[in-house]
Amino acid sequence: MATPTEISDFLKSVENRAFKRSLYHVRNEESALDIVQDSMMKLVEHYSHKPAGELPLLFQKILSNSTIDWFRRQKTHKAHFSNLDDFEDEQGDSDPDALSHLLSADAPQSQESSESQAQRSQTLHQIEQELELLPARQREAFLLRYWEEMDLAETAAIMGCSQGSVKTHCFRAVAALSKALKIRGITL
Amino acid sequence: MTLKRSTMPAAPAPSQADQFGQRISARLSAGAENLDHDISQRLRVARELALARLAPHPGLVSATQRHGAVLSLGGPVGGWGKLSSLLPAIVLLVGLFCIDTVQEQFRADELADVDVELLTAELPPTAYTDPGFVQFLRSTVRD
Repeated sequence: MATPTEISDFLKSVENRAFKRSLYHVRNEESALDIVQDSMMKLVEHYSHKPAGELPLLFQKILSNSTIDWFRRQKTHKAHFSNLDDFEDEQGDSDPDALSHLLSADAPQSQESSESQAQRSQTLHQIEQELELLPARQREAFLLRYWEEMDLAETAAIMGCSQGSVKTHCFRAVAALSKALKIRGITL
Repeated sequence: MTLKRSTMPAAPAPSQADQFGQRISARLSAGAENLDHDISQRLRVARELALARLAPHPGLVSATQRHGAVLSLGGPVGGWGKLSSLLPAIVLLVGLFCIDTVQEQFRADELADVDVELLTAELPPTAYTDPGFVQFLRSTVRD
């Protein structure tokens, strides 16, 4: 059983990322804060008896469900989650060369280090914009897999789909992002 | 089917895709570390509200229950607590019983004194039932 200190430390360690992850989905700070608070409440009320090691996976699952509940309440769930295949087919024609371009054009380390704070902030803002434009399932898979550093099995468990679907969502998300960032002239 | 395959993007090497995803994630992480002060404070409050819902310490619960019992006399108390709450009523009943017993004793003593005086008097008790005695009393009252 996790101690109150362990739960507090865990929530403190994930609250910023949880807020940003929700924000990428709902694009509204107030709603994102509500979703994070609701998720924290549910974790404490229903899973505080679980070992501390299980809290990250449980919290990510709760956060995903709370986000879906928010879309349901907003009556936009169907638009974001139901016709995923249609969304993904539209995204499937990403430029296959975009990623290779971005990865092959590795900027020198010195150049990156000399990038101004304003440029970094602008680049981050553009990445976030492109991330928000992804279909919901692709965005969720990308954030869980790469940002939250979940493995395939954990991501599949949280999203309620197969590992193969997770791979597909991630690949399409990466392809779409690489193409969009290439168009914007952003080099990572 | 063939056409659909041809429209699919060629899969980059998994390591390349992972590498790209990690680079984007690194940028996103940098942004997540620098949230506005207002947002950070509201997240802190949300965390504290959630932690407040954790079950209180068992010792605190029992202390609270004890205080509640003392204040309300109606909480989950033991046998001694119930007995102590009934004690005033028991004392009252015992007191009333004692007062009744003493008064009964006084009445019995008064009747016994009357009986003693009647039996020890020179006049026989049958004289009191005589019609002449009634007449004697009426004439005495008139005088």
